Amino acid sequence: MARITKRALAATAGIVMLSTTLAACGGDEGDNGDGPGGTAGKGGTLYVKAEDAIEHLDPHRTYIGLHINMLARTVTRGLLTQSTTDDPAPIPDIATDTGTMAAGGKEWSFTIRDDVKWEDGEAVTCEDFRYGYSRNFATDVITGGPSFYPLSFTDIPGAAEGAPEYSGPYTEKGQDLYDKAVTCDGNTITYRFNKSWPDFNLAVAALHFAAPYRADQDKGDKSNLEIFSNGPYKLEGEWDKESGGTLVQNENYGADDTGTRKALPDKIVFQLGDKAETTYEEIIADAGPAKTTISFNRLPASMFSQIGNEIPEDRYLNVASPFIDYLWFNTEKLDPALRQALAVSTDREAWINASGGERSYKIADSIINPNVPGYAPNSVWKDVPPSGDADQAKTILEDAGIDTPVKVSLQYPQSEGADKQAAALQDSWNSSGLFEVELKPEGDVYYTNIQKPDHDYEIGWAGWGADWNSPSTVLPPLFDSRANIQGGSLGQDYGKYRGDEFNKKLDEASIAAGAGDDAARDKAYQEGGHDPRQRRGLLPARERAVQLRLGLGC
Amino acid sequence: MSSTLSDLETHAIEEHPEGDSLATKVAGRSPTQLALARFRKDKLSMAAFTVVALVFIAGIMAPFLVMSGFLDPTSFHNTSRTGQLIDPSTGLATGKWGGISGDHWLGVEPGTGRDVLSRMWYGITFSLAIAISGALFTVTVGTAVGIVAGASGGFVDAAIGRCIDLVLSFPVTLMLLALSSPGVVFLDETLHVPSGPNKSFVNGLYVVLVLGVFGWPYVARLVRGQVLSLREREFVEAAKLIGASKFRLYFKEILPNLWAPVLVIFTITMPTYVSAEAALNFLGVGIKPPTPTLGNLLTASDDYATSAFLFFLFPAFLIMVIVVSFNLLGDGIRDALDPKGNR
Amino acid sequence: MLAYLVRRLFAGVILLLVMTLVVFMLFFASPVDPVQFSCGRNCSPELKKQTEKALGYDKPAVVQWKDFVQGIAVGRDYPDDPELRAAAPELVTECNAPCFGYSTFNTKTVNEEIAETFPISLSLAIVALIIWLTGGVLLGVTAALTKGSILDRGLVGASLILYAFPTFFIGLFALKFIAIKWGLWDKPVYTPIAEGGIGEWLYHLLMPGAVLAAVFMAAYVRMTRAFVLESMTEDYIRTAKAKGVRPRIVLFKHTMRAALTPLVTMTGLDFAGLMGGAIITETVFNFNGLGKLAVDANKVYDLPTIIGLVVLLAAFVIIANIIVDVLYAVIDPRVRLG
Repeated sequence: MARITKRALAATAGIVMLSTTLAACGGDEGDNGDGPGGTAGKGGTLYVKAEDAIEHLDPHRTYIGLHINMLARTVTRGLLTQSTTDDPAPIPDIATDTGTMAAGGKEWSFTIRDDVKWEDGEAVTCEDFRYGYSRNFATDVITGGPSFYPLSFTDIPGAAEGAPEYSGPYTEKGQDLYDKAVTCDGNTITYRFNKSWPDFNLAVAALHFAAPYRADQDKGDKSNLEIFSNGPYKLEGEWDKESGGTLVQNENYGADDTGTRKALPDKIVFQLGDKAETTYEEIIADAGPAKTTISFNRLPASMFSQIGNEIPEDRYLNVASPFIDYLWFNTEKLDPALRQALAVSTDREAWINASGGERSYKIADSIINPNVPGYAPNSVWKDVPPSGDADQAKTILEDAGIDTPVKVSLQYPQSEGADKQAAALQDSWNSSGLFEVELKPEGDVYYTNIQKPDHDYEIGWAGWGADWNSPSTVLPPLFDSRANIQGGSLGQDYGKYRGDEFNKKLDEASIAAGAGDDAARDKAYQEGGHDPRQRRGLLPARERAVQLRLGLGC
Repeated sequence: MSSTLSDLETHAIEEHPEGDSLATKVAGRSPTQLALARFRKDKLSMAAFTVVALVFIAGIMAPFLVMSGFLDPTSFHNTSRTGQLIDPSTGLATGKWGGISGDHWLGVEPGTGRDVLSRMWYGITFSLAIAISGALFTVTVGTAVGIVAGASGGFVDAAIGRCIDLVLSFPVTLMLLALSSPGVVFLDETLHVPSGPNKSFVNGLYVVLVLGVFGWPYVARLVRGQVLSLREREFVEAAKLIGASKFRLYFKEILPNLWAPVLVIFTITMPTYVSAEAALNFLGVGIKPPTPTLGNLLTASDDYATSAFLFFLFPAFLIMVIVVSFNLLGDGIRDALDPKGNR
Repeated sequence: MLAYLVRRLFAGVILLLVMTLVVFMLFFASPVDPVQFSCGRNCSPELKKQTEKALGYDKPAVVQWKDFVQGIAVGRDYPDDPELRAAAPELVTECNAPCFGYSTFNTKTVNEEIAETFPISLSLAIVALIIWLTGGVLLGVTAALTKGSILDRGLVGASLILYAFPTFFIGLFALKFIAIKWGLWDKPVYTPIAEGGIGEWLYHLLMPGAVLAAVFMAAYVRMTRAFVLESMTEDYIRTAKAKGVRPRIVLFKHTMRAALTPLVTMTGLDFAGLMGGAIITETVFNFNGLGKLAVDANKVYDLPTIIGLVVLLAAFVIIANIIVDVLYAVIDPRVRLG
């Protein structure tokens, strides 16, 4: 989820989306159901369309929340899962309960139920879980997933420094170390960590890095686009990277009392490659299969005008996503006063309007999404109007003795939409007369370049969403310079922010979390995140919304 | 796109009868005068010529109009601060017909509220710049190589012939696409272009270069054919006999006799490159916004095909007009120069 | 004739070899590191080295070229590095001759990718060819026979205007308005003959085929018209007319035959180019043919796929050139191969 997807569009409201659709689209084609929330029927075919190819189906290489919730959840069951409602509490899936934490968060145990089966009828065992988790360590094969969590937490020598001495099940180097860290005792699996991981249950419910995997089905990289299911659906035929595949009911699917999988359609057909506009135009035209079609992609901004006309309001959902888009400033290159002036003069309204307006984004007043517990509005934005405050910026620059206009540059990953948005930002800064902003669009190399420690970019943009419902998956991964800036990479700390005070607050929060004191944790995060003297408090940001429109005929 | 370059070959090779008919002499008036007279009589060609001339003038004027503020391709009108021409709930222009008004004759761009007419007008400048430089490059290299091949004959001719075969065997569109990221990086690093709006220059230069690199063989083949027939003519023989240098032979004796076919080739290459720029932009290669070109304007508008149809239609229509008029002009010039032609 | 064929084929192979060498030099001398892309965003130095070895990118370009050519001739195994193969024999992919490479992105050999996408491009090319050839020749002849009339001008003008609109504009218009918004035609989704029969196959190819044909039609209309007009002034036609051969016979037996020769050349070469995928049409209609494969490969800079495709398409063009020259001799008795 945290990964910035290439098109920066694939936001997630998958949980809500999937449940609504599966509940609503059960009926046969042509069956006039009641729409979302209406009576559910069984049968029929659900079509799911997406613009881009899905890079990985391998559960340990899947990180994009949308893919987890829209696809992986139907074929991969793990220890715990998430509710399809707003309730953030994890639900036991293959585990009998939500797990037992011991040793101050350094040890977690789960008992595996014995009535869950793989698609070939064999039971899912504790060893399958142990094998699956071990795949994360094969960093040369299992790429793309959230493996850095198990890599850095698991109690294997070298893990804390980022170089664990175990290298996965393919080479078996350091296998004995792994065998000590993760153990199976009958039906009980125990994970041992080198530091406290109080969120582990939330992590395994949200991501699939601890999913079970059958060793005899593992073909390394060649398993990337294969599905061996233990969920309600299984793959029929082959998955084609460019065009998708078809899921059918898995008759060997074992006991499931999570209540999160209704599995009503007989078939789920994934069709990839059509542009989102095309898909939504089909859905609006509502003919044939389009009646039971949903899209991965959000409703393109170019089609908002059709809401209320061609798209009836009751067929349309606008859900808040866990994502925040933000601008970062190079703290090594730009003076604090300059950064503040830029932030204050940013016309966030223009930025948002250039990308579709109020239906696409809301102005954010914190880098933490309001949906995440521990969110509190950042007070530094209180006196800044949405379209910026050039006068305030001018005063700041004058006080700091900075000559105007200041030449700065904005770097961004080039795309049709991004061009407009960057131009809007440029226009907003330049029109104050205080800045001369240069736009520097880049291709996909942007994401590689902003992680280079010696980059000389001045302003850039990025997006982030919590991996699971905790600020611990927002602030530390983004701004903890100790964890981020190492090994020839900036990690996610693109602005090279090194704040000792801030880092201390993160530690306080982490300790509070290990002790189970959520209030203290949130307080520490807020103090760290909102200190107006810190750069952190001054990132212009916006919340992403997710628009969905459901197939009409279902 | 796949057709544009090969299409050029079609026009050039298939439709143009070889031979020296271009230089047919009639006593009293020079062939040029005759051709001009014929051209003036052809109404369609004159109309095409007028449109082409207008397009050229528009393209040349645009930068000055932008500087003077008459055209404003960059200003936003999408917030209370900048003037609210965009409905924040739909992202589309307020008002009917895509926001067409006295200030914005062709409406404003959805999302940003930038003036469509200004962007299109300014886009002509960049599209023409690419097409003209590309065509100049193609025609210059092609003509030079064609003259050398045709006039030298023998081993040189054969070697050039193989080179032409080699270049022609490349799948052009795929090469243009695949070479774009290394090509642009390469140009960027070699030329040390400062970033910013100048990046447009690098992207544009890449398009010009690849169009030229993959386009010259068609011209070379054609020119070679012309040269082969010229080679047997008396004035060339005479020059050879008095011991004229090769350079003199190629460029003083032969080249001046080639201007007519070369002019025709140039006129027909231009529109294919205007289309090529648009097609390449659709595939993600070429000058990127905010610098407008007809190609990137059309590419940016395709999402709005159903919700703001005019915004989608305008750039496509302008490209169509330019391509048609250039083609008609090319036909007209050829017919005027070659009265035997049957059209 | 046979000797000629052998000579041409031999020259073609040499040309292809030189061309691949140039391609390797171009891509491997380039400043973009293909491994950076193959290896992903969070690429560690070790992982990068591993990817380099697996694809053979650690070797000099000439050696890689040699390996590639060898792969085409006798096949090769991936990963390229023998040590990696020995370390994990279960992960080895065999790529039989003619091996065009192995794509780490799609974890498939390029041959498999081509085998999946080629039928789509070929189908599209065939349908487009039929449309533009019948359309182009019919309209061209009509225009020639009514030379100077409004019909003549209208036909030539309309085909020129159709040609002058960018293909993706026409394609998007057809897709978004004719197919989706107005529902006049089902949205084209490629359906193999094996699945839906020839009718279904053709139905779904007609719209993209027509869009693609629009580009070519104008040239064919104009060319047919020009040749028919030109050959009508030839002496043998005049002779035939003078002999009292019926006009229709003159047209079809004499005039058309003369006009056929250049048409064949052009058709052959255009068709060969199109077999390699109509990049824009396939992108607009989301047909997973060779053209779309190329676009997708280029997005992630999947070099093995790109190079494999470049070489394959070049081979198409070279072969088509040979075929066209041979056909030339068959159709036009004046041409003699030697």
